[in-house]
Amino acid sequence: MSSGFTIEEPRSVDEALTLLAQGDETVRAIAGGTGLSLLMKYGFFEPATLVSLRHLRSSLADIEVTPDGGVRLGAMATLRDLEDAPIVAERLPLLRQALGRLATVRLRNAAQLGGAIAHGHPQMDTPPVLLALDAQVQVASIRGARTIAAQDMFLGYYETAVEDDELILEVRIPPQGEHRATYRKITARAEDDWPMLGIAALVATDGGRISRARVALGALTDRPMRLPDVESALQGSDPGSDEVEAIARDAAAALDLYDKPAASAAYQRHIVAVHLRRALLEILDLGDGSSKGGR
Amino acid sequence: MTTTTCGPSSTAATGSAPAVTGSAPAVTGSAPVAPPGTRERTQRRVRDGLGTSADRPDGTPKVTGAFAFSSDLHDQRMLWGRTLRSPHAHARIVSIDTSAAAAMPGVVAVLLAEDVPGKATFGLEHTDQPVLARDVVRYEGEAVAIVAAEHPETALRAIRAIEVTYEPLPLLTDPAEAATTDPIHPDGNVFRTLPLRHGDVDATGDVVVEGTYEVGMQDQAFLGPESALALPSDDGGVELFISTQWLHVDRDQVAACLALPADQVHLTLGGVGGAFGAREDVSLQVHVCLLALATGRPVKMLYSRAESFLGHVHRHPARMRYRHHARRDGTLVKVEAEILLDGGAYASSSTAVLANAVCFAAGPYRVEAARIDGQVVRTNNPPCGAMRGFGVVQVCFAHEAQMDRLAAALDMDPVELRLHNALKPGDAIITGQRLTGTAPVREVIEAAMAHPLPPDPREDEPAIALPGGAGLTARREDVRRGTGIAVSIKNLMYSEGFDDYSTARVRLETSPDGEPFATVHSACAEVGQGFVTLAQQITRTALGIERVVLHAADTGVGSAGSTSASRQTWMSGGAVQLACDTVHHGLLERARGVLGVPDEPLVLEPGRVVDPATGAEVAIAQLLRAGPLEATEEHHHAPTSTLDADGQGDAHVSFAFAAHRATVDVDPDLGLVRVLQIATGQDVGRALNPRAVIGQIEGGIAQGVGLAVMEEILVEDGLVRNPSFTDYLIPTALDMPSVAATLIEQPEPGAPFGAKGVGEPPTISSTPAVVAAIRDATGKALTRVPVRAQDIAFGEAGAIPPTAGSTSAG
Ligand SMILES: Cc1cc2nc3c(=O)[nH]c(=O)nc-3n(C[C@H](O)[C@H](O)[C@H](O)COP(=O)(O)OP(=O)(O)OC[C@H]3O[C@@H](n4cnc5c(N)ncnc54)[C@H](O)[C@@H]3O)c2cc1C
Repeated sequence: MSSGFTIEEPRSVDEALTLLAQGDETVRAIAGGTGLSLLMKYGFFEPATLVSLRHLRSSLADIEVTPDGGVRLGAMATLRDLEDAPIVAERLPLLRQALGRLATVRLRNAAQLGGAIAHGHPQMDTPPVLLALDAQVQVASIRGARTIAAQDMFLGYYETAVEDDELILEVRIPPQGEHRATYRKITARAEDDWPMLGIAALVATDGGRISRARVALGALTDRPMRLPDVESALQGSDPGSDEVEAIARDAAAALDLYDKPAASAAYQRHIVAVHLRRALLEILDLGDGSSKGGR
Repeated sequence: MTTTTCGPSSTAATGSAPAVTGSAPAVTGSAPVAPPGTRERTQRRVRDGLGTSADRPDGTPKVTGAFAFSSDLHDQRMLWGRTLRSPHAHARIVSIDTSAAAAMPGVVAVLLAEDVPGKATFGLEHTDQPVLARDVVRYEGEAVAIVAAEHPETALRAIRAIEVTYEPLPLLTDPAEAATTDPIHPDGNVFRTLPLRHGDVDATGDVVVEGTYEVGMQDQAFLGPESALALPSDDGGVELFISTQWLHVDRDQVAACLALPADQVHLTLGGVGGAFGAREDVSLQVHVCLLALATGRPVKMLYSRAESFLGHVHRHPARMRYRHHARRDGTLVKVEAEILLDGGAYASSSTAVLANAVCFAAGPYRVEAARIDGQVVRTNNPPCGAMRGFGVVQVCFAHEAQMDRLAAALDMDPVELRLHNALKPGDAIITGQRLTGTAPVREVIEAAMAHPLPPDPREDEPAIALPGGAGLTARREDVRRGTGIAVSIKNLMYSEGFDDYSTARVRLETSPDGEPFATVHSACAEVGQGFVTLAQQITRTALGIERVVLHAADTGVGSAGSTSASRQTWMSGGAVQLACDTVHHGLLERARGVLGVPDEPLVLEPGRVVDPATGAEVAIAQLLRAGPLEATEEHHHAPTSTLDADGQGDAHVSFAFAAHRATVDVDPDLGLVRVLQIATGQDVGRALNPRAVIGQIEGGIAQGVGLAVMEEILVEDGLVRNPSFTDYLIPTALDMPSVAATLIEQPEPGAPFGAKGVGEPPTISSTPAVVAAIRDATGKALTRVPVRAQDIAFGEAGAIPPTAGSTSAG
């Protein structure tokens, strides 16, 4: 329960950063409010001051191609903005695919990219995708600006590397080159449920060989994770479907999982093995008639 | 026979709303429904009368948002009430300190058990639940204290400021241990034990199959949380606006606990946002009235979602052990079952739920002998009570799985086996009661099977149409399709000798503009089922007028009984019919006088009364110049008897049957399911409003699919782990299968207009049909609902084999 709080609506980033620099963790930025308002409702978080980002949207919601061929995503773009952006469709089909099936359109209309990162909820869809894309997250505070690799961003249950006084301003995705990628998830119950497993997998090929592989899992434990063993097994190789199956099985066996109400650890391990195999078969074009996800 | 098909969910996904195809569902091949008044018949039909899909009077306001639900109730001077609930499933209350809460600015009252002026307990059938816990709490969420404050946040802060010291007590959470564990309540741990012995209980069959089945705890999951507004009245009594299923039974419990005479407690129905059984018990009724009387001010209470999950009863979880005996030709010889229901901490309607489970344990089949042992017990789990299907849902899941096992053991087609044993009129059920009404069991099965199966999967099917949908989890070649059938029998109305009735008052008069109109006054709780539409339709047809006004449902008229047990069309529809009949006779009486034909049989037509012999006529409006005509009538159904020591007796009024055929796609590796289609045949007697019937069928199927693959209240050590719609999931439009329904119309003798209740059957056999379809696709045994993904991926395989005692497996 909240005993009352104030809402500040700064007109500039500097003003917002000053508000956040009070050394008080009950002063918090609010973007779409979809995550934060639930935490407030359940009494997990009682703010003194909410710093609304709504007036910053005009300057921090742009989606652009950078000179090196990468993409810059403004942190205050809504998930729906990103989903609808032609640049994202063209250059980052993986992101578009994940967003197109993330919760509901109501949620995507409100939630912002910055919120989808800083919220740090372990069951979100965007984090594993950002891991697979080697995203770099630009943050700023009155102490200065810095870049956090997606890899180093997610620290645990509702915990990220973003400090209390920092704002996420943009996300940079390096050029991905020729690649195939997919995001597959499992919602065990209702269609628009939170994922109980999300898999983002990407392979860039150079000639017949895999020049770069990225595989990240979300929603299983308290944070999204890359699977370095799978990536190195794929890198430089040209696997057939038997090898893919073995890679997926070994990866699943190595995971440290725990029982949840809707899914035992054994079931989670099982679905990683099945689902990772299917994801890899799809992007390696080994599927015997695999459905073309996300197009 | 009416056949309607609703668009598949994939149609919905591409933008067109699922619609009833083939224009509005019309009742074809059936005679127009006879109006009340046996001799006189309406020649021309009034608009929007019986048998038409007349619009709901509350339809447009509900869609536009203008409809006021009970959570919208408001009074300028009102306080907000809030309940402090036990965090323990079983504990002794050592002390309660309310001083800090009472001292908070804006807090007007803090009440405890000792502040209840009247009866300390309430309950539907047994008053065993304390209004406020005094010395011990028996389930998580039990009410301990209530407060009233100027602002809802203040009320919330106040209950948090109440200091309660608890001493945890040993938990009784396993229903199998209840009967032999120290009582956790002065009334003991067993609510009811009900044995049933029918025919030669030692008979054996050539083929025997057995199995053990479990049903998890389902929630009614209505969307409008518990809410009410209570106002102190000038006579020292109280006025309560409440969303409920039965105003008068609430009134009587409130009056007893408040130590007020019943006539000083006046209840009016607030807008109900769903009920499904969960509003039959008292939740906040007594609390909100206590606060209003203690403060002398109007008080509003509105549960949060989490509180709602803890604050109402759920469907009884069940453990069932079955053994079916059959001859080699498939004829059922004997059904044996042990049924254990977990009633949770308080009795609610547990005893009646058990009676249903036992009486219908064999399903809609003719069986020569039965030995059933049922028991419902008290535990420290959440209290369970009424939910759509009421005890029959649980056993139907088991007996239908058994029928499939038997079919496999006999190497017989499961549909064939069911048809072979299907009840017919004149047969007896296992209580020995003969079916004197209609029993189109064969017809409902054939109708369900006659619907075309959903089209075969297409190669280019979008992945979203496969199991796992939005997750893009499945590839076409990973998916297996399965089909399953299930059939059910459900009693209509209250059973076991209960003298059930409903009251209605109908007044016919002219408005200032000279137009005749009727007012119907009934205490029937409209919870979405469409009684408001039906009352208008009956009155229009009976009285030949179009304008029918509904008086607010309140306790200013006699009881209408509960909106449950699929009973209101029959009971309150019947009461409206009787009252209309009396008014109708009054009209004809007056017409005979005006036309000077004392002995002629006259006919009521829309707007007028006609003498068919001479063609002379007189307008209804003219007949009403002598003043309004008004009648109040009570409708009782035919009496029933109790069950004897062997569970035998004519305990039920009437029976309704339904069959469901489910088609599912399953991704067996991941255990994910998409329910594609439910085809159903349902015995409805007469469809008085076909669109309303289809609405009940679709809604009931949604709850049946929910129990099959999604919905369960997870309880661990007596604590509910998922009291939210984030964690307790119900089907959305994306999860709903397409529904193809055939209404079997065979008018039921003794039922007003020949109509049977239609609300519960769709929920009952849709669940086992879905599970049968998943078994068909996967070969897994799946003996528990809801079926979880991991049960499919890892569940015991080998499915439904014939088991112990089988002398032959065909
Ligand atoms: C019903 C429901 C279903 C959901 N289902 C899914 C799902 O299926 N898949 C999924 O991925 N997610 C799901 N979510 C989570 C959703 O994605 C997050 O709530 C959302 O992304 C948060 O974004 P927001 O803009 O609303 O953030 P807010 O709620 O406004 O903020 C969340 C947190 O991020 C911080 N923050 C926001 N913006 C910034 C910034 N620019 N810089 C620094 N900190 C910032 C806030 O201070 C706060 O701590 C669901 C949420 C709900 C409510």
